[in-house]
Amino acid sequence: MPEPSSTGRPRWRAPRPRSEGGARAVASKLGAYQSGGLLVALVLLSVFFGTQSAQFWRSSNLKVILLQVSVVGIVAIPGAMLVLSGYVDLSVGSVAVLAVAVFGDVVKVDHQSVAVGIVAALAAGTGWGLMNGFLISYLEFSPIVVTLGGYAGARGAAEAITHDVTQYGFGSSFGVLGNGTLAGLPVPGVILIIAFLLGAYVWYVIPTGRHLTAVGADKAAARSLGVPVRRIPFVLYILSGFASAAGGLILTSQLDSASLSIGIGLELQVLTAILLGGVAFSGGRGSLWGVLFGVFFVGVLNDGLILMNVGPYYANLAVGIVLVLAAGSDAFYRRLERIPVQIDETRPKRGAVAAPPPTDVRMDDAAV
Amino acid sequence: MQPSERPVVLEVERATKRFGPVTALRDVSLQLRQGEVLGLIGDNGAGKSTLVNIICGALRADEGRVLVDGVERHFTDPSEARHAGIETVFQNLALIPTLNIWENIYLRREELAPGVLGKTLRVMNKRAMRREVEKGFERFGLTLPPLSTKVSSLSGGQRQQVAVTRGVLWGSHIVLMDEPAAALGVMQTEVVLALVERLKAHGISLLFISHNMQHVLRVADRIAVLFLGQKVADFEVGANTQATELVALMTGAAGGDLAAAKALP
Amino acid sequence: MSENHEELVRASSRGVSRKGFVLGGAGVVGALGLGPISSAFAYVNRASNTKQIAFAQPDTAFAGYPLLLKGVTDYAKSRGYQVLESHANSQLSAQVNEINTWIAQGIGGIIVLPLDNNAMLPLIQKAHGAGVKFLDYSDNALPGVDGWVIFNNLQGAGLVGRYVGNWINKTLGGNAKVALLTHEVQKTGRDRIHGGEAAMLKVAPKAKIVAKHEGVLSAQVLPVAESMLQANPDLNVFMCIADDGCLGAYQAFLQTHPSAARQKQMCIVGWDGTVPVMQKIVAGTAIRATGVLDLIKVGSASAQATIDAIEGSGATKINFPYVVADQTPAGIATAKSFIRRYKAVTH
Repeated sequence: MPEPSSTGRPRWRAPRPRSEGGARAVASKLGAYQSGGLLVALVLLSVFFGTQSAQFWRSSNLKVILLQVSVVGIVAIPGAMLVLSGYVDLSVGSVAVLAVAVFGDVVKVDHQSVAVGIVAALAAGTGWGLMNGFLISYLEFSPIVVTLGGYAGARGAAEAITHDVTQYGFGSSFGVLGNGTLAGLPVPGVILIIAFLLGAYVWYVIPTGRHLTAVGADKAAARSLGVPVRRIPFVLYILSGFASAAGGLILTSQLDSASLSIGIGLELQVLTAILLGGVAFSGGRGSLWGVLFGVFFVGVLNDGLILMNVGPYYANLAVGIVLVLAAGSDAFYRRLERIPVQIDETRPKRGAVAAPPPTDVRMDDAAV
Repeated sequence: MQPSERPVVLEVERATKRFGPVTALRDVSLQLRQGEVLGLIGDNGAGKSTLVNIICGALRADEGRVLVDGVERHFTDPSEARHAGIETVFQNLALIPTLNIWENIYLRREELAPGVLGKTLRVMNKRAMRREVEKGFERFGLTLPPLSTKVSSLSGGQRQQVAVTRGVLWGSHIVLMDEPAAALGVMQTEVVLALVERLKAHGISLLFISHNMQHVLRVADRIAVLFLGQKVADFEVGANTQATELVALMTGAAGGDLAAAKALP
Repeated sequence: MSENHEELVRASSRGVSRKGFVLGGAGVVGALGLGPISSAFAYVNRASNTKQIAFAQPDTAFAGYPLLLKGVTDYAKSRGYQVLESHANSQLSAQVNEINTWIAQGIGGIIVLPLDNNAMLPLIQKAHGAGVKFLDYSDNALPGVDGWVIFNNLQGAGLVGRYVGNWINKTLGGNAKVALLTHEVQKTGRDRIHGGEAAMLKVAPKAKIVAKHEGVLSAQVLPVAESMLQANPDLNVFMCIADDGCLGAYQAFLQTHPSAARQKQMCIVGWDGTVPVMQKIVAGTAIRATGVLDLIKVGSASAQATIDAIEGSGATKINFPYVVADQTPAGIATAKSFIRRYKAVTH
């Protein structure tokens, strides 16, 4: 026990357990529920727009929002897994447009069927993902450099394939992909739901989700424990390329044209949703539900502001503010996480004589 | 059964490992017998952790062999070493800070739900894992913060306890412990040493690395000394074994005679 | 139109060159490689170089480029001039290099779509010092140029706006709800939409602007138009700053499963004059008008202004007019004629 000095103040001050424990619990909840916080924000935002526009809560508008966010959501699922593992894919928008260019070329210039075009487009996207995965996982090139190169290179390849000519008119069966409905929901929305369920299964239910977290939090430790630290990002990049191609095809179907305007800015939208949703950019921590909420948050924001006929600059501003808040919440959480945990039973009560240790040796944290 | 008659469960034969121009291990051989604690000591840079990494499958030796239960093994992956029965408590702990205690203990060997759910769908049985870890802690008389605490919230000492516990809970045959008490206080170190004794009593074989001569002398049946990548001594611990001798061997001040005197015939 | 298209896409891509590292690198190598070789020949044939003009439209992969080039080369040939093409692939450094090369070769004149206005100013001085004529081709006349080809955006805006106003009066009795897809950062964008809006309101003053949002290309306009249609299910007009956007607005409209009667009450209009949009105008869909810039004629006008500047007479300052392709009988004939002429060049 510390002896009081002549000034009456203890020479050594023990850390104050109770308040830190309380703050830690709050931070823990905050961090665990950053995604929850975002859900609350999403609900509040929706309520707000509901008061500003009579059309917001109409089912047709809600379906439109789902339609608008589907492609970003689908691409964000493997994207979020990559970020969780400590990697990133900045090439998604350009890979999407590359797949679109391949589709248009195969169907309209080579006169193949739409089915062949779809296979070719998905193969192109998956192939680019495979290249990303190989360069990044096995040759250990920097993810940002490689996928940034893809951001420029894949779009350049798309322009070279198309010579800037937009192919259009792919028929009504292909149109179902982007414009059709299934069980009352738009087809892209159904695809998003399926993709999310698969993603949540991997993230939360099976061991792989923990392995992703391990790779992102401490790759060396994960390797020591036998986690396949090369195979995981390799597979994820392939999935990301596939999802980008699928997203590109969905947009092609919606526009009924293999437009080169597809995919512009997609990587930013995807990354925004991932970071909003509380997946730390450094990896090792995050919630897939949060990513879903992030996707819808941006979608609701954009739609709501157009319903209110407010300019687009406010949407960007709002997203920026929420991102900064998310970053702040992330930093706050990490800071409080570092405060050591106290063990209740062994913390001596003020003034009481410490009881003799039981025969079974116990860990006494106060000694550490 | 006499100690020297017990079967050799782990053998390293003339292991050599180079990292570029540096030779971390040169021609190192040792044997670990069933139910024995082999203390491995040496100064920083002597090659102890390199040797541990080779045995546990994290590194491959450039030359030499590793035999487990008499069978030559070439581990490409730490999981293979684990399947061969080798558990490791790493010096740097190898804990994932953003996962909690039971998740860390079960990482890469997660328990799946029974029946179809587990077999085909590979659903994790989180409740069972948590319960098992609780029981394990009780069995060993350890108290740690709630199992759902993330490791990043734990102090250095608590983290080390988690790492040691992981090795102890899974250890069924061979356990490598690399500086398992380095960050621990007096009481906790006692617990770790008591665990080592307990494991030995259950027939588990341990390779125990430590800087602390007193600890090594307490638990080890044999001691091997590494100096600059080579083994310079390998002997049975007796009543006369002195800490000062060990330090001399570790730092190379002993010279050839003492080393020769301590070497196995 | 081409430089507007180029600039619009560049603006949408937030500064990243469309051509990317892959093709841009090739462009730089190309420009550097050809430069010294042609310089060598230039010094041998200096006298004949004055019968050469350079068409410095750097976005050579743009779909309308063959149309422009056809106009330029046909006209130049008719007056005995040879045409040099750009290899800059939308890279500014490559553009500056090739202009310097042409100046050094002492060719007759250069007409430039500048990738950066400020970068051109010293080049203009240099060209004059070498006796080379320098013209520009964009929405602003740079100081000191010997001539220009500028698109008469306000005139084009008026053509389309008046059509919309007439359509509102005829089809809807003068009342309409109008949505604008804007691009305020660029002068062409502002001129087209503001001019179009003003011209429409002059003819149909009771029309109401109910929605206004940024959107240029089809993939951006699609979600914006979807939301606009949710806010205003009885919307009547989409005025898009570029034809590509019209296609996005059109698809958004189709997603609402409009009946035949409803389709008759929708009018989507834009500017540029691209083949898919003109085809939809001819087919009688809800896309009803576009302000066309005859790319082949733009090419000829560029060559003409340059050659006239070299020879010291004729028109060197051209405000190139738009032509309207719409769903009036004359407009449909215009559209068909353009489709035919364009397809003959680009297939």
